This record gives sequence, structure tokens and C-alpha cells, in this order.
Amino acid sequence: MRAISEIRSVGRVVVMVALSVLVAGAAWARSRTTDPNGAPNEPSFVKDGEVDVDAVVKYFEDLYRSDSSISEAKLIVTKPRRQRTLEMKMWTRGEERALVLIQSPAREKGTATLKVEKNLWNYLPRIKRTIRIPPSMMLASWMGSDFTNDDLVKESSYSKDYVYELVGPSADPKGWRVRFNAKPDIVGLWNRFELVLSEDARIPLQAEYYDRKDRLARRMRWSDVKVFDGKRIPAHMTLIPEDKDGHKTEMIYLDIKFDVDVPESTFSLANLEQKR
Amino acid sequence: MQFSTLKIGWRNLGRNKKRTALALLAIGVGQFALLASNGLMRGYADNIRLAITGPMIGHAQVHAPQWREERALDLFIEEVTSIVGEIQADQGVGSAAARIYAPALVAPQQDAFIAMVVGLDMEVESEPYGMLSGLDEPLKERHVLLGHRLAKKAGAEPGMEIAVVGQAADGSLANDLFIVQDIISSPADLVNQSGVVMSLADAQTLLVMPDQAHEIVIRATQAGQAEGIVERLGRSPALAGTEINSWMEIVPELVIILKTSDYVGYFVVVIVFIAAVAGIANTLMMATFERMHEFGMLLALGSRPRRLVHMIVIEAVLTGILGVIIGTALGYLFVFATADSGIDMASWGGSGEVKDMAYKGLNLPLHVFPRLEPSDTLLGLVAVLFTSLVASVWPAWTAARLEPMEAMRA
Repeated sequence: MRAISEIRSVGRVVVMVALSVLVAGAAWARSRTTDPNGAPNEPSFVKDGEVDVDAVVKYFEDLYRSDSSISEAKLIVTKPRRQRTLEMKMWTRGEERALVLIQSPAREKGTATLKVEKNLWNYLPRIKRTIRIPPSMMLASWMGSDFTNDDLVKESSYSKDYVYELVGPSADPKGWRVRFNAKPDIVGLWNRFELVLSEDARIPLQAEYYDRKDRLARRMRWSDVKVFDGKRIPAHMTLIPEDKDGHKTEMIYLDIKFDVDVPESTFSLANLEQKR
Repeated sequence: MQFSTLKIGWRNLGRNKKRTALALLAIGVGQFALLASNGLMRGYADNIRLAITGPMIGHAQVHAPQWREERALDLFIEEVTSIVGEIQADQGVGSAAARIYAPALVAPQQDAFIAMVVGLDMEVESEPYGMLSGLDEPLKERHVLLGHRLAKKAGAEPGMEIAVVGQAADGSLANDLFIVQDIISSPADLVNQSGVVMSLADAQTLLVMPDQAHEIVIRATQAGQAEGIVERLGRSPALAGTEINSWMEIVPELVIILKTSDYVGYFVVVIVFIAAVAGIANTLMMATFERMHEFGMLLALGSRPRRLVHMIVIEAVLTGILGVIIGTALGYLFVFATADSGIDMASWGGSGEVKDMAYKGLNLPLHVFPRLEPSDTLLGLVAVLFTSLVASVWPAWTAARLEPMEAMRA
């Protein structure tokens, strides 16, 4: 039946998936010391040629617990027959709250997505309506991107859901490879994923996600490390699904401000509808 | 053969009324069973064929290449109006209707539900066998019809304003408000389950598809023309760059089901047939063998063996023809009596609720309208005559070769 694929493609409609990536990015930089010149000064997780995996994973987990951020980014969705670019502004607070406002192109300007805990709403300025995304749409993609709604709302914890181990040095890309195997009783999309970290184990370079049948399902690449608000972050993320030729989704950060004051009221339905 | 032999044969029928009645009954019931089962089988196969070539699939379809595999929103046919015009110019084409399919969410209130926007050519689709056949009121602009299952799930009612949100063909966000004009029950299961039916023009606007569509459904003027149409349209320069398929190519698995059901039908008919023939043969043979004494008498009186054989065979053939006439009358009575109202095969299954089966998005109605073709009667007639001959020639031959004295003693 084609129902499943239809249901999935329905989801191109709605959600701001890249958010979770953003939340990760925002959190990335937290608890990092900065030297007086503004350049990050970070202790390496690599000591005597050995990666302290426990410390790395704990560090990654903390990445998902940033306080707040305001950022601007570009989302480039590439498909075999077309390419689209969206510009958006995002507000986040902790892991649970996020608001995304599309700023261009004109047809979508003002469209907003609100995430509060596991709920997602979309505000559509053209028809002045807010709609909630049904749970059955969680595996669907958003805006035709290769991210799923689930990427946005899930709260997966590396150490809670996965058993991890250091595989060893990675040649391509150069760095360290860490494998995360899903615990047997965890319900999720991925059987395992392999993360490649930079040589100082502070910057992610690539992640490969394997589905429940242990087939490579998608690949994420991080590149273009930049300093935002005094923190070193890969500004360019590329998600490539393995089963769809010619598809990819890129997210490029233009600006990120960390630990800024984002009031709780930002993440309310009233605000979603009023401001625009 | 003398005319008097024919007359004697005819008169013989009336001599033992009980025996003749029994033979006629056997033949009549046989022919009736044959016609009735054939009629039902035909009606059932008609249902399946109509369900396939009717509302959802038509006799042939035109798509952009790859659409059937990917069903991607942006795999559309360009310049639909002129292509539809070109198709309609073909001699075998009854109608051609462009359609748009796009996944979407519908939201009567805040909660959204998964749906499928179906953009239809209202004029063509409200004709018989269209997706909206039997629609009372034409669909107004910026109004939609909701499939009854979707409407129930979403809690939508006629008159409500609902948001339809989806992705447009250019990748942008499609969203607009529509008024629910009616809740519908369509022969297409897809529409019942998730259909948000709107006019082709509204769908083109919503999804940014100017003069574009995903599918053109072609209905032939007569069944059996699909291949010819596909072949001719394939040569048309206007349709270059599109993919044209007959319904047999679109749903090959349904063609297999259809063939299987035909075979099952033949099988049932053959069984009924053998049972009827055996009954007829038995009755006729009994009727001949029990009269050995009488045949001996005729031989003793100087009847020629050959005339005797003629007489017996004529008697059997006349019985056969009479029986077939009675059986055919009963069979046609049954088919005519039920042809308009149909027979609800669903009720045979003991369920009052289930009125149809859905398969591959097609509703297969279980309400069967029996139908016969002249060849069905002919089949019975030929078979019964053949049986009558075989069943009477052997006893007649036996009788004719008897010594008159022995036969009379028997």
C-alpha cells in the first residue's frame, strides 16, 4: 500500500525539525570557557592519545540542556527536481520549548511553529489559524526536508537509551569514532548510530544512523566551524537520507546568541497568534 | 425419417405423463441451475470490472513518467487542458478527466487530521461511473466534500470552515480555508477514508499547479477498447513525455483476480452442468429401458429397428427441447426478477453491516445484479440435446437389436 508513504509525505507540511539540531547546537557551547580574546579555550577530551568516552558522552548530553538561545538560520532543502531555501528565526528555552518563525520566502513569511514539550503547533498567517500536529505525523518530514517531526520532539538521552563504546580513531573523516547501540528495551527509530568526533573530540563531524534492520538510513555531516557568541560550533549541517537519491537538507546558522533572556510567554499559543 | 415417426415420438411423450414430467423436471432444473449460476457469476464479475474501470481507475490513465512509482507532488502533467482536449478527440474515448492528489492535513478546529486532497473535474466526475457519480448539487467554489470516514474522525460537519494545509507542488506551504459542502460516500475507498474533494481549479490554486494535474483518467465508450486507446494516444505528439497505461497495466493484480474469478465461475458452471447432465441422462435411460417390452412388441409387429431408433431418439430430443424451454423460462424469470433489485450477497455471509469489500482502494460491492447472455442459453440447449442423444441412442440401439420374443419376455 502506498498509505504509509502518503502519510509521511503529508508531514512535509508542518514541523520544525531542525530545531532539535539547533537546541543541540545551542547547548553545544554551554559551559565552555572563553578566553579574553573571545576565542574559545576548551580542554580536550583526548589525553595521552585516548579519548575519555564517558566524559565526551556526558558532555554531549549536557548539550541538550542549554538554557536559552535566539538564532537565525537558513534551511536549504534539495530534491531531485528543485531546491528551496527558507530563512528562519528561532527561540529556544531548555530542551522543551522552541519557537520557529519563517522569515522568507514571502509565501511562507510569518508561518510559525511552536514546540512545547511533546506538542507541536503551526500558525498559518494566511488563514490565521493554529493547528496542532497529530501524533501520527511524527515520522513525517517537515517542509519537504529530510528531518522528521520526531527529530524535533524526541528527548533521547544518549546514556539512557544507548550503550556506547569508543571504536577507535577514524580515518575519514579524521577523528574518533564512537558507536551508540540502542538498549534492547528502548523503542526508537535507530538500532545504532556511529558518531565521528574531531581529533580533540569537541566537534562532531559525522553521524551515521542505522535503522532497526541495521541498514544505514541517514547520514549527518557537520562542517564550517564558526565562533558564535564566543563559542565554537559547526555552522553547517547536512542531512542525507540514504534511501532517497538526490535528497538532502542543509541547515546553515547565520547567527546564534546563547543564554539570552527568552521569557516563558514566548512559547504560548497566544503569542503565536498575536505577534504576527 | 418419416413425419409419422416424429408424430409417434411426440405422442409417446403424452403416454406416460409421470415419466415425461420427471424427465422434463430433471432437464428444467438442470438448465435453470446453469442459467442462475451463470447469471450470478456474470453479475459478480461485472461488479469487479465496474469497480476497477469505474470510478477510481477508468479504462486508461495518463501520468507524468515516474508518478506511479513515486507519487511525488511535483511529478505533474503540464498543459492539462490541451492534453485533455486531445484525448477527448479520440474516437474510442467517452470522457477524460484530470485529477490532482496531494497529501494534506485538515483541521476543523485546532487538531489536524491526515487527509488527501483530491482535485476533480466536477463535470465529468459527477457522470455515471465518475468518482462523484450521483452528486446532487454541484460543488461550489472554495467548498469541499469530505469522505465520510474522514469527516467522522475529524468531527467535521457540513457548513464548517476547515483549514487545509499541505505542501504545494513548488515546495511551499499550501494552506487555505474551505467550507464543507457535504459529507460523501464514494465508490472510491480512498475518498471515503481520507478524501478532501475540491474542484480541479481550487486544487490547482491551493497547490500552485497552474494548468497541471497528476492524472488523467480516461473512460472508453465501450469496454475492451483500453488497449486501442492507449496505442493511439501513444502516437499522439501532444502526449509525448507522458506515460499512458491501460487499466490492465495499472492494476495487474486485479486482472489476475478477475481471471481467477472467471475460472472459478467456469468451474462452478461445469460442476452444475455435469450434475444436470447426469440427471438428465439417467432419467432418459430409465425411460427407455423400462419400455423394452413395448419395443419388443413393436418389432414383433414389423417395425423396422431403424424406425424404432428414430422414434426413441426423437422422443428424447423433444423431451430435451421442452425441458430446456421450461428451464430457460425459469432461469430468465429468476434473472429478470433479481436484475433490477439485485441480490445482496453480503447478507449470505450473515452480516447486515458489511455492504462492500475494499481492495486496493476499490470498493467491491457485494450487491450482485445477475445478468445473462444469449450464449448461456445456447450452451444449455446444445448440452441438453447432446445428452438426450447420447442417453437415448444407446438404449434405443440396444432395443433395436433385440429379438422380438426376448424383448417381449423381458
